[in-house]
Amino acid sequence: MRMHKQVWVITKTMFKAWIRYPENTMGTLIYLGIVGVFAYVLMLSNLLTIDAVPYYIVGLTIFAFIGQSNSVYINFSVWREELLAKPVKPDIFLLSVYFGGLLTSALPMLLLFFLSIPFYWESLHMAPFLLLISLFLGILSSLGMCYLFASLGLRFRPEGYIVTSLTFVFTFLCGILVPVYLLPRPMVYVSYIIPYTWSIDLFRHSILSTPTISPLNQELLILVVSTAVYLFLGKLFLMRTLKAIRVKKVIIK
Amino acid sequence: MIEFENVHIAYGKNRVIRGISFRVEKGEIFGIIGPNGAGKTTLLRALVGMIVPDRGRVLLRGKEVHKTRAEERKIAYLFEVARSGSFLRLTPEEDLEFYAALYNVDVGRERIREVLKLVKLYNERKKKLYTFSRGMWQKLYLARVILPDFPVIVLDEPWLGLDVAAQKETVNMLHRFRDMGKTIILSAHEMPLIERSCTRIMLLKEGKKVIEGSPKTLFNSVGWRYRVSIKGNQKEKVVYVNDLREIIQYLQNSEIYKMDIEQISLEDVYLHLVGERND
Repeated sequence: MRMHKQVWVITKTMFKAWIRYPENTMGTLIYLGIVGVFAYVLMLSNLLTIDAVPYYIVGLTIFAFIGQSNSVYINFSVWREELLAKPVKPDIFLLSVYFGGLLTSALPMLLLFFLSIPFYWESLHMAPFLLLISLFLGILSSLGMCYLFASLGLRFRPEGYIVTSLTFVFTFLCGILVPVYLLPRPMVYVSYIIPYTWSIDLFRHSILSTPTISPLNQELLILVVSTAVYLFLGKLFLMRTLKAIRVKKVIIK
Repeated sequence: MIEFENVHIAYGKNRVIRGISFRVEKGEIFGIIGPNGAGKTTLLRALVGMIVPDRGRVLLRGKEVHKTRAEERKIAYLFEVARSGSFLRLTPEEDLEFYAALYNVDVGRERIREVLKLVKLYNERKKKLYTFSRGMWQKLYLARVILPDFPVIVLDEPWLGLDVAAQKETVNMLHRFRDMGKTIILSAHEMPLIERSCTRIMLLKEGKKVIEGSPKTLFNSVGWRYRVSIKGNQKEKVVYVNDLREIIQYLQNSEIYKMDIEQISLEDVYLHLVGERND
């Protein structure tokens, strides 16, 4: 089977498996609703330089693109034995799960994003080239994170509460809900080592022209370096985990 | 075709397999039996390349399994699996399409339908998996292993939780697979089904091979062929004899009310060899 067909079939299956549960779609809408209310009620606008709503919507949109690590963690754990015994390559499976996640989570976010454009047209200051770069680097660094989470998925059983908690940690620390500069100082340092922070910040800057955490060139450099580091470490971790399971016969916990 | 040479496998300090050697030829249905924890699943995992032996070699077509790529091995493996929670709303056709991608084989819609017909799930091809009974799930599992048309099929507990009709159907299916030229290795606890399915059987106990051979070889190893239960004026007596004439000595000087004669079953052989017979 050709690689692209293999990726397409697995991606399609992941999407069908998700979309046929109405509660998944409902959950996404409720989540968006809660975030909307959060944005309006708490009115963080007075702390931001722009309107809170597009700020959150843009943050959520990029997170939908890059925040697939939890989906990867669960699927690598659930399909662990198949991945170890069947010819499918872990990279192909990871990419398919990633795209499957994109189809399920990015679409509603994109819909929300495009719907919001007419209402917040004045807030938008798009830089298309920078937008593409930040999206591209964001997806690559996210794949690095996905490799790390794939390794964890192979070693540990999928625990729903861990996965959900991690999503909220990332949502909170990476500047989606609360701008990084408003976080307590120790948390700011933690957020800096998560690559999502940089890609979200850059993506938001490319659409809303918000101030960046660091000067633009420096931020681009940080994102490129962290992407390379996470991709390298992630791949290395996955290879070592697969070897440990096969040779040392590490049992799933 | 498949060869285990003095294989040792340990999980940490727990030595699960202790120096096992055996050979499986093309077209055989080879059954591995033994108590829980005897190492059956571990052997199957070593065969499909999920784990690497600590010592010894597992050879497939003359090459060490863990040194070959999964695509080259061409082994279809059915795990003792729980139903996957996430994909229950797929149809069998969609499920098999997904498995074809996992096996990295390009199968068309026609092949999927052919396999569904073979396992008698064709009429259910549009139903969602969450509506399936245990027996239908088992048919789907068998469809998954036959789908890629690989020469070797490995089945871990293929009869687990099936009713009598579904068990019989699975036995027939295994014979059909063998007729198609497949080599099948399975592990199970259902002795009558193993006796009816397998051309050769290996009994494991505590990671060691106790005996290996055809069902007849295993029967002969016990030393008796009949189990006779005699109820008379004295308390019930159970005797094991190789020849029915031997029971005459037990019939003298006693009044007989009831006598049952059972021919040895694989279950008796199993219990005798693993030392768990109580009577």
